[in-house]
Amino acid sequence: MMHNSFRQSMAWLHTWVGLVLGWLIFTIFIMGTASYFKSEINQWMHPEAQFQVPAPETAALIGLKTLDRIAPHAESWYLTLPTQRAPLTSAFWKEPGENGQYKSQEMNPLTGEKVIARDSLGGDFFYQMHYQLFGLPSTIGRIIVGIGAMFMLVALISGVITHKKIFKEFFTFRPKKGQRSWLDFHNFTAVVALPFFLMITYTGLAIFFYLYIPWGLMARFGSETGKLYDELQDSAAVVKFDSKPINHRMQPFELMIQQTAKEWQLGSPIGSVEVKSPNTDQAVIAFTRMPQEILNNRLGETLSFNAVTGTPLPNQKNQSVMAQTGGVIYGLHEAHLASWPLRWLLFFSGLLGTVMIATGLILWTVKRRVQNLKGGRPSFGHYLVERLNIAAIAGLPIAMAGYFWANRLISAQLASRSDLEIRSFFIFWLLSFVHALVRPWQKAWREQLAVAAILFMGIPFINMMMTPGSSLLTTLGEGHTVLAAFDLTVFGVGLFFACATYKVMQPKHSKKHNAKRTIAKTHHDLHAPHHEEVSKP
Amino acid sequence: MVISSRASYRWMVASRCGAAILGGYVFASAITVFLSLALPGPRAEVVLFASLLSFIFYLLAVIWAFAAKTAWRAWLWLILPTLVLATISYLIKRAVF
Repeated sequence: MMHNSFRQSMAWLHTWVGLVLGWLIFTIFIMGTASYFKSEINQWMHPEAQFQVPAPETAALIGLKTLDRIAPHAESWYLTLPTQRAPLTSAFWKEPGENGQYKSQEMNPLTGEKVIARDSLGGDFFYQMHYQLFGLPSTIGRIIVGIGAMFMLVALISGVITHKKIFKEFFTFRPKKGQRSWLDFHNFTAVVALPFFLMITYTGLAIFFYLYIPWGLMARFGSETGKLYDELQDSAAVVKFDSKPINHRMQPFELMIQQTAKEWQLGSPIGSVEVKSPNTDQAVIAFTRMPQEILNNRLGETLSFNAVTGTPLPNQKNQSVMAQTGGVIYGLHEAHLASWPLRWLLFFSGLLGTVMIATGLILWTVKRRVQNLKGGRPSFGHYLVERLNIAAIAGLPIAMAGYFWANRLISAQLASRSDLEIRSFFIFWLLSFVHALVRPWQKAWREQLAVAAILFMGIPFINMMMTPGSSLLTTLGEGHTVLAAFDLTVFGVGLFFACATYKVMQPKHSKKHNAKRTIAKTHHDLHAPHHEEVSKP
Repeated sequence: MVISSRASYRWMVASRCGAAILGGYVFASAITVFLSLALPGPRAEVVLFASLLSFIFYLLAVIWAFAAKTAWRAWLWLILPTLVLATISYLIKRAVF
């Protein structure tokens, strides 16, 4: 064994697995947590694209008619209908031919007109960062994220084994005790949301299993691995034809939409529409219901029609346990359909995850700080870990806030402004890293936490100045929940960082300096001497 | 003496890391291939089931690599089952598919 006991071996494993890719895992977690509100972030970052959400039947009809006008001979059409979270219709289609490209258009749900809004990747930037990083070829990005997720899984399980009394220690919290407090806090966050962490890490790996561990798939499918999902889903719109499609008129869409709406009188409405081979003799139109559950992405019932005759087609969805499991894995991880309370719960679980990883990383330095400083100066490794911690834990939030600021400050008309927004994100992040490298360790923490607080709390104000139409004054009055909630949430995040700054500015609690602390307190001296060698509280 | 024991400790850690990361991956892959070929049922569902289990086997292999008495044992008990599973998988593949 690595050490005398199994538990000690696991403690060693937990420490090093957690450290080596800790910053990557932190990045994935914080970006993923923000992605629970991807649509809401998108909405805030495109303040021009605000529309009344019509009935889904109306939106479906307008969307289909628009596609019929702009892409009558596409190979397939796909429409996602507007919701409160994303109040516009998004359409994409595949152009005809072997190498036909996918094109997309966001449209006004009431008129079908192309939405003209500022060019911004919005919340999709965080989302993409979260599962494939950014700037790397997507496959490489996804593999790196997968390695991070596997490390996370190992860290979680070895952590549970290490702290076998973890559930007992759940109720232990020793505040203001330096290292013990960090450990207690690390354990507390781990236990509170352990099922969530295990679920989210495992499903994250599972979604891309065909990329991470494709050997079983290849052994059984040979060269036709692409058929896996067809076989699992048996998509209702897949009707096999041998001949080439010939142009043909379709039945009016109204007819089939009405029939679907009648069929689904109770419960959830149409969520998306798919048309295969439109305007041909092989046209099939499929309406998918918006499921109310989050657990299974495939629960969405589908009703499909032969679009030439207008007659319904039999449902061919694969309802086997494993096919359902596939849907559940996506549903659990992405929570596309989560209700508001559940979405917030998942968001806070994600935040607990980021806090758990952050406290774990800090714990590593706190534990070793005294020991590493015996020789006067910290070792290079220790120095680097400390600085990387700052650049991740304080730097990433700064970069995210900077991204929001850039969205409001860069002119809405500017071409390629989306790139500029993303560049702002990375520039803020780089500045944070450089600042952490050159400043004394505690000052770097304090200053960066303060900057994060100011940037986040400033977002509602910069919003008010640059785009008064979406400011809190307007959104609260008009009951525009999504935009108002965004401003209030980022302000809340700012307050959190303000509290953190305040905490870091407090005098130290190390026993050695208790005497000094007492004096400092009695004199209400806010400028109590900070000793670099004292561990953080 | 101190230096050589530190060096051997480092080699031991490196060896276990190799066993965990590479050995574990190959071991998990072998199990997945074996299950994908051996389990009954529609192929898409069998493959999904086997592949979803692969991460658990990888995890167990990593834990094993750091819990085994020596680094050699860690390697041995990853390589042996991998070879056995690979052989059986090869035979099934040749006979059935």
